[in-house]
Amino acid sequence: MAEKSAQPGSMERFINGILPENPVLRLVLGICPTLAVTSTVKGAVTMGLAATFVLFCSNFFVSLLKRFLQPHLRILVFTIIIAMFVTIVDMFLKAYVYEMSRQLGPYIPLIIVNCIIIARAEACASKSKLLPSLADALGMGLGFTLALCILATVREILADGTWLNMRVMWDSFTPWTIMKLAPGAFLTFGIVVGTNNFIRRKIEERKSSQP
Amino acid sequence: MINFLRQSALVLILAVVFGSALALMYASTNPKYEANQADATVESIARTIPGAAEAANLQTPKVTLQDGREVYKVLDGTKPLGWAYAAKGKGFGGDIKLLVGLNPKADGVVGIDVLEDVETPGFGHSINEESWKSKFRPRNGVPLPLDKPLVVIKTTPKPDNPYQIQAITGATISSKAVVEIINSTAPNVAGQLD
Repeated sequence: MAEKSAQPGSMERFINGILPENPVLRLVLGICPTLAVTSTVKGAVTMGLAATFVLFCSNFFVSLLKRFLQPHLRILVFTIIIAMFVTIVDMFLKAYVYEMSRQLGPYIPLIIVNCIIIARAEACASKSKLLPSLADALGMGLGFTLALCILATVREILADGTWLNMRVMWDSFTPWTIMKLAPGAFLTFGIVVGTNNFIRRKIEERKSSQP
Repeated sequence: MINFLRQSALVLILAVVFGSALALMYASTNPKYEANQADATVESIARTIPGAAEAANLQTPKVTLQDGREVYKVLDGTKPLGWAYAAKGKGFGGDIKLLVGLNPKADGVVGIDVLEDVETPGFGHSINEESWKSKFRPRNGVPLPLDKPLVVIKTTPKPDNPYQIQAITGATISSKAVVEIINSTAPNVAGQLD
């Protein structure tokens, strides 16, 4: 059921985040972790879920507290909320997923400065009701995770011949070491964003030619 | 003052509430984290010291040397297996942190393990591979001696020369960095253990 107001409804918010407004592929936000932790699928999934959790909690609190936000203090409040949940995620990973926490290193604490989260707090949660805010957080979070997984899939398969540590390439496959390094991240990122835009344009052309 | 409090009330309340919540979270997860770190150290020691992985009753008490360095005394029950200590040095991409294993008499190197590194994947990062770390194992039962520094060479070492370590192809700097960490610390640590 679509709402009549200018604000999109919960379902629309959720779907928007996954593809039409995918934070990485369409809005080009949160690129630092996208480039840094996508050398393995496992790292990408952990990063995606950690960011989704922080985004969900941050949107929840920002939406609840939006009546009390002072315009000049709002960024400070967002930061306190985000930093709180990032620290919780960091402690949780260190205690229960130690190996992953070591592999991701500083990139978990760096979720604090992930601009997807602060952008959603500013653009959505501080202006929307609770339910659309939560739907937005889930959509954006899953969109972020999906984009990371796409990049990590390409990079891990070409760099190691594996996917989630499972062998997928033939045994004599020569690993492309470059895909594990920073240039591989940039190349993959460019190609994935380009492919996404190409597909989108084709779909739009088809829509406009068949009214 | 009143205006200041009214403006900042939300920030102050959040700081107190979240601060307390984090303190609770820290208190509940930190023992687990420290246990994880201790486990990782013991696993690393087991990879470094020959016989430690098979030990029925592995003990790793910490000993502090005169210069403040901490050394793990590795024992199977009461039988000494060797010594292990952590040491750090500059690699190609950043710091490399090693665990260096010495024999029970503390006059030779019997193995290493890489604790942390940011070397290039596919090149310097290969210092983590068993095939390279095994070059620091005793040769024909004799630990690598400490009376002269180890040297990195690009060819296969002669079987009768215990001082030569073959570099990883394409990663001479990382290989040299590891050997340099051992050269600069092992004789010193061994000297204090006698």
